[in-house]
Amino acid sequence: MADENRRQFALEELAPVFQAQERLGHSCILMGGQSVCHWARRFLDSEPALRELEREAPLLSKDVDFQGDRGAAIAFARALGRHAEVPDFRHAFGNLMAGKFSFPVGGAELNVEVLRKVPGLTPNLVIQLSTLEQSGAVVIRVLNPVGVVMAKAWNVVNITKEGRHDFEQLLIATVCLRAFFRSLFQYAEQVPPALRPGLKLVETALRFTELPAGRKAAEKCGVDWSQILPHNFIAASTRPELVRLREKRLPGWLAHLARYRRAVPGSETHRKMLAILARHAEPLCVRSEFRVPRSALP
Amino acid sequence: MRIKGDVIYLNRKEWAASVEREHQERLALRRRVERGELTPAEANREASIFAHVPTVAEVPLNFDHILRNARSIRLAPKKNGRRKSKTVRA
Repeated sequence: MADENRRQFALEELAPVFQAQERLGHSCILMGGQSVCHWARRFLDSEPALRELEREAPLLSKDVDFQGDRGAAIAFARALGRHAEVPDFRHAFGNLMAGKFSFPVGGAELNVEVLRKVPGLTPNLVIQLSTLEQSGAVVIRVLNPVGVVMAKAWNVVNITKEGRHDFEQLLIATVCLRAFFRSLFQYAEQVPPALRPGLKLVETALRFTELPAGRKAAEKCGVDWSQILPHNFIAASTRPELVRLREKRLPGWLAHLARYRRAVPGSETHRKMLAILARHAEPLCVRSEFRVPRSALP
Repeated sequence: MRIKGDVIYLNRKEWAASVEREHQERLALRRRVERGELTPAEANREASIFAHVPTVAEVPLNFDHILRNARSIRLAPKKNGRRKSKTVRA
């Protein structure tokens, strides 16, 4: 139950929780709001938009969500000296919850929830889109920005509940995704074989935005999917793979996105956040004549 | 100072000097917190025995792991190619 007055936690406060995961060999994958906070902190210096977005929506979350099975949830709670509540046989069907427990952090109770699946992602994709990341003194297993954006977009489309911060977190995650792809391409400049699997991640993200879930997310919260790519970098690159992406794949993708009716947000915070994103948007790497003008659309 | 295995033996004078040095380091951290250069949590981390803990932004991205997992992403649609060819043969 989302409660507006519940205390919010920063990522640094969750060190004991992550240490327990490290001891257990990373049996669970960090997802949800705290994964957005992790990536936002990582790219805070390279993306000026994130600094401004942070002022509108602080990088905090009310709880911490993991993906894992029932056994992992029980072991996780035990490692922290707690007892996990797991749904019984009658309630397990149709219930995503593998187990949950609370843990005292800084005088407040932190709710730790372990879900069997990440809504919006297939179990296989969850593994493929997860990575081991250094967070302070501990290593965490977390969904990468592609997975985070897909999961958050699913939440935006399918969950309508008061007090949730899915809209804000999705907008922050899209900026993180652009920074992630930029670092990926920069890495591929030094290590050329890295570009091919990197482009698989790019294609996964592009295909997702073309799906009904991507369209509905744009219609609901006004997210501009064209800004998930580092257009400046792609426009300047001479690597054949990136030239092919720029000249063959992106014109069609951008034409598809141009058909989306993006929502005008109701709340003041969302409006400010979208204005920040528009101010920091990169000019599209594709020439404008490739884009379908609005007047030509039915 | 004498080191034997993992143990460091200090004489009284060296011990007093090390206590004073730690005190000065703690005071310096406290002043940085007062000036707003550090949060209390960051100051605690710096004062810990693990010395400097790099922030998330300082650690390079783990691309080896990310790309190893990404290699197995399947973008082509799954088809029963072999079964189809068998049907044609039959």
